[in-house]
Amino acid sequence: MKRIIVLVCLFVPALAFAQAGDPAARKACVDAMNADPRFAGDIIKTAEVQLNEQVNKDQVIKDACMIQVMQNEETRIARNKLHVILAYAAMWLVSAGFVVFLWRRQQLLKEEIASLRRDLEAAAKEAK
Amino acid sequence: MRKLFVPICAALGAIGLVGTCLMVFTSTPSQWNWQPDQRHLILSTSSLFFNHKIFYWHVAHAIMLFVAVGVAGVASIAFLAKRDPRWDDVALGAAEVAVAFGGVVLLTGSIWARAAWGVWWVWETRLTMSLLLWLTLVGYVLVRRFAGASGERLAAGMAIFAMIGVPFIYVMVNADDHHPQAGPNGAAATLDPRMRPAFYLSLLTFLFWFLALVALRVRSARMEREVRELREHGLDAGLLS
Repeated sequence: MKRIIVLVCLFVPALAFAQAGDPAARKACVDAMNADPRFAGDIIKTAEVQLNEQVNKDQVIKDACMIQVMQNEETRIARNKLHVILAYAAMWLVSAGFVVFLWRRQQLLKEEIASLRRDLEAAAKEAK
Repeated sequence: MRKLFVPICAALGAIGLVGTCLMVFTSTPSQWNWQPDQRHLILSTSSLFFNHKIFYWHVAHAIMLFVAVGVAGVASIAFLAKRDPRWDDVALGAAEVAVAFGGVVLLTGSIWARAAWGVWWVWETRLTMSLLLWLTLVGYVLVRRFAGASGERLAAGMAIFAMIGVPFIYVMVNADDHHPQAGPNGAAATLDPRMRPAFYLSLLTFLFWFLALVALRVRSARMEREVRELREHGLDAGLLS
């Protein structure tokens, strides 16, 4: 009997809350709780148990989702190939660019030295 | 023998590069372990993700950068002491190669940071000092390019300054930051034994590359000097206007 009263007291305020409140039912429940502290204690205890069960269920679902997200993300990081390819490409680009730069500079210098030698020989012949 | 030095070094470097690539992608470990952390599972810090394969180029280039800066600094000291232009050519060659190697270090490091830490750059001690070292070397090259003959001694001073910075970057910044630090017995002592052969081969490979590039650049510097001397000779003799 007591259990039925507890369930009614839990159900009525919930229903009242869902239907934007029934002041008469709420008042009856509050009066009953105020009249008997043990009754009030039972209601509070039952409500807390139900609330904790719900919180635990939410937490388990939240943890499972979080672990899955973390594992997916960390596995993606662990297997990531894109950045290795980018790093290799950067190394090759810089190295190849530097070698081409050196080679072109040497070719220009060779041409300049040959041209200067020709000019100097021609000028020396003219001077004679 | 002198003429063959560059082709031999380049050929050894190319062979080493092929060998290093094969070893990096076939024999180096790539593993990760999960470990519990209160309620979650996290990846162990000793895990070797696929992105660690950047290490074999990044660290080898960094060590060659330090070698290049050392060569440039010592050659600059010799140049300032003896006034022999051949030392200046060596310093210039090593400094330009150091700029190229430093560029690779910063680029590959930044890409690795993005893969491992989720950011392209962190203003932590070692990264910031490496960037400053590279900027000093870029400054050296700019001085040599635009300051003319008078810039040689100024540039030599910059190379010595850069050389002094290297030990600070390698040893003296064991700060509590992101970047992996060398252990008390050097970086190789902390390596997984399965990583060592590929790492040593990559070091040897880039040492050959470094020697070939410095020799090439020194040859260019001597040709530039020859051009200057020919021009001066022509002007002095009134043969060139």
